[in-house]
Amino acid sequence: MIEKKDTYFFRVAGFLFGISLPGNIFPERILPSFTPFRTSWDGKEDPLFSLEVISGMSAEEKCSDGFRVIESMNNDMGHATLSAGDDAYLIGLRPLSGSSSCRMVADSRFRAGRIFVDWADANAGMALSSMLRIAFSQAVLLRRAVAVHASAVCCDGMAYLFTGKSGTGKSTHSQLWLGHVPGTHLLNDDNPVLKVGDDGVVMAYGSPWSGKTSCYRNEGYPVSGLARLFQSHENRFVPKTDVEAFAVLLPGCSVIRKDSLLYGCLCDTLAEMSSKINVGILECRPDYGAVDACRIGLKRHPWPVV
Amino acid sequence: MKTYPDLKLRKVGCHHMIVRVDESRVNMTDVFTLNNTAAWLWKKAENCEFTEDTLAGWLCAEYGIGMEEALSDARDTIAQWREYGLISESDK
Repeated sequence: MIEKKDTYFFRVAGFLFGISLPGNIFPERILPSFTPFRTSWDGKEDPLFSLEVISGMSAEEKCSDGFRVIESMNNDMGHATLSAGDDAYLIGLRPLSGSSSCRMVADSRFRAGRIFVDWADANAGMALSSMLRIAFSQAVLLRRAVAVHASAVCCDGMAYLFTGKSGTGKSTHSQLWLGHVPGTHLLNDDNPVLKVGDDGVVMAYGSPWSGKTSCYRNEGYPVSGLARLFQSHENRFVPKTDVEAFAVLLPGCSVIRKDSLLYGCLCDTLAEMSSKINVGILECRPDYGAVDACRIGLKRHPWPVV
Repeated sequence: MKTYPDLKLRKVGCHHMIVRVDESRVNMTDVFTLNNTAAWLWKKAENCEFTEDTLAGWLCAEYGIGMEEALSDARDTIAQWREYGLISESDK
């Protein structure tokens, strides 16, 4: 069967990528959070990746021969299964139990691939968005960037990121900043992108993925710092440097752990970032005192000397 | 003995570290910090076969210490690397 395809381009954190959709599927409707990131392609720039979206799945395409499951997990995207094949990955994703499964087959560097979507499913858009998030978060690792599970705010032209386990209060902490520090705005509430620029400056960017909060800002700011949050009875910021800072940054990063090339790239990037941004642990209560402690901790030195 | 090829020595600020993914525990990663001497030894040991004698020889040449002291340091270093699972025993 032949499907007519239209290719749309997007730019997130400075990275251009293309998505080919069936002619009757429109990105504004199926991927509304991507709208602020729409761009055009000059025909020359090499995209980060190109993915083709295919309607439904033939019996042949449902076949998993040649792939072995390496990870199976339940996370904020639903139930995901990661399988590795010969220089390729197969990813299955079921956003909600009862919904149909979405699949992606991509080369092992996530440069090109195909995503199979059942449009009859009510959560097809959500599944497609999550697949794009997976592809994007792995592809950027080779370009000195990383997608972080964090909430991020911007204050005085600088970005502040908050990581921590689910339920710790990352979003709550961001909201406290908005209520307490004049001129602060939310950059992204779930999956901002950190990148080391050509000038060596660590930047944080908004993305089309922001969890439950509709905050899809196509903006980027130099990073002042990142705090990993832990609930506590008192507010205390504990600065971390060098290797300890690296260990604070690592847990919130999106990476296929068993892929030594991608993981190695992530470690190289984080090692560089660790000495360029302020990093610390924030033991905190859900109050304005936590914001004050965090602000002081993360504003110690805007650009530390390496 | 050999170092595992995936275990790369990295510099963070003025410190050295080795990062290892723990396959047996989900989402756990071990980060090891090395002092300057250990980092220097690791760098030399990467991509080659070595024994206690090899390391001791390097230490003697670099730091001008006696063989006995060097061997003791080499043994301690290898014991630590072995304990943390950073090296594999080579085929005899």
